[in-house]
Amino acid sequence: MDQQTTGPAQSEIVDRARAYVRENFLYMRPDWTLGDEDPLLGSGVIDSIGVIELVEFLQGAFRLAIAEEEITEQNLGTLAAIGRFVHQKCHANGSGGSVRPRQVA
Amino acid sequence: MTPGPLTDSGPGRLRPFQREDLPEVVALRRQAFRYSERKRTERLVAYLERIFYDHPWADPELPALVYEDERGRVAGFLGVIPRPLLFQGAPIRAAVATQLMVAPESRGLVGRRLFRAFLAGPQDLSLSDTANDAARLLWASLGGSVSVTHSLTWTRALRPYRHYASRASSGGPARRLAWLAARPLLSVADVCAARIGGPFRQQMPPGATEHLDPAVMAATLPRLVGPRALRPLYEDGSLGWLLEQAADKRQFGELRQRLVRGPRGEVAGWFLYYCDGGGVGQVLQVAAARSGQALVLRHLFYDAWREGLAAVAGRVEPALAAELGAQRCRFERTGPWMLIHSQRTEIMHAIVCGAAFVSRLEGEWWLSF
Repeated sequence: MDQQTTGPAQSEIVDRARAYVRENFLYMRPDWTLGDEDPLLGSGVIDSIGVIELVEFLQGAFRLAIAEEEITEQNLGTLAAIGRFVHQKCHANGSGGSVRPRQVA
Repeated sequence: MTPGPLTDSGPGRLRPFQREDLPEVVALRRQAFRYSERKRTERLVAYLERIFYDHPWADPELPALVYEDERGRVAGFLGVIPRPLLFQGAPIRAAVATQLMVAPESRGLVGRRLFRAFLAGPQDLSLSDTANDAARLLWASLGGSVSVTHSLTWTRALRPYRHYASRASSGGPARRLAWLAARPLLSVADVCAARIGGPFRQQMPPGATEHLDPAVMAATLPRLVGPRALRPLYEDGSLGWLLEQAADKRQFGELRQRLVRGPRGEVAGWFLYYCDGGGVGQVLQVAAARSGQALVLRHLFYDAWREGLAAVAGRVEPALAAELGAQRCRFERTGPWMLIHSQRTEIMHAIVCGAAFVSRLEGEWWLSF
């Protein structure tokens, strides 16, 4: 599939989410190992305010709207879950397909 | 984002708080908060039981909430206190959120789930008035609002030299020592300020004050704040209990509750404040009809000065703001936030625009965990 028309690849979403989490929540802990399936919530990586910031990042970076009922551990609990969730959203509504996502600040 | 009907998803589950949860909730509170007025566990257990179960406004539809993790442990809590209010003459249900706490290993979405479940409840108005920045951000992300005016505080210096020197002394031990050494001189300067003309001159205002009785409060409030769209319902007999709980709070000293009568003996209003005998008195409530605001505030300041306070402070109530300014109060945005949420825009409008009488006695400020 053409990434320019169908949205970012799942691996790209995971990489960008990882970079965001590292830069914003783990900048004081550079040695923290952050695997795709490592829990982000309840592990001291992201707290309740961090969730708000993460949702804002995902909405802005991938040009999608996340509904309140979608803010769950199943969708945001790990980098892999974020990758699956965002990838599915982008492909479901095509919102992330027509424009290349913004760079992480 | 506005919370819709509760469709909570795991892991773990949210459920109503039960008496059997009390020991676990107290243990969680010890983890989450450093400060407590009740050092002994059994006293804190008894207090939580009194506040969340044995209050006069029991409403099974508005329970406090707990989060039970996957192992069945209580790992999150949000206290809820129902409060009956009157809006445009009709009873409405308010729910006060307090004591949001989550175990460290459950942080992330649990606080959000608790707030979301709370805001999706059947109450007409949700509020919380001792919220920190984290709670404010969480609340706002769920569609709630901040009443910025109610999040301001006012301070009236009564012994200005002592008060401002005390504020300046908070910079370290050396400053503190200098302040202690200078106290006798500052006291002399304050005596002079109270006697000579100017904003700090203290004179007995016209009229008189006497002990404030809850029955008088309940009977008089409708007349004093009658034109306002939203007010508490004190006529249900709950005020005596509420004032007993408020008097139980010791963080800011003893609760003083005084009724103010004008020169002809008519009730002008009242004030309730905490007095620690020398520092800054914290006002719980000032009630007055518009025509009596100046007199009630003057009596408050005079009473607090007589009690030896250096200053008196309170939360800004929009309807009182003009008179507070006229009486040389200083406004600041330093304390906790007042958070509000309602699906009924006219209720939100009434609070934000000053058409509501919602004092610290209507929120969670009077609580003393």
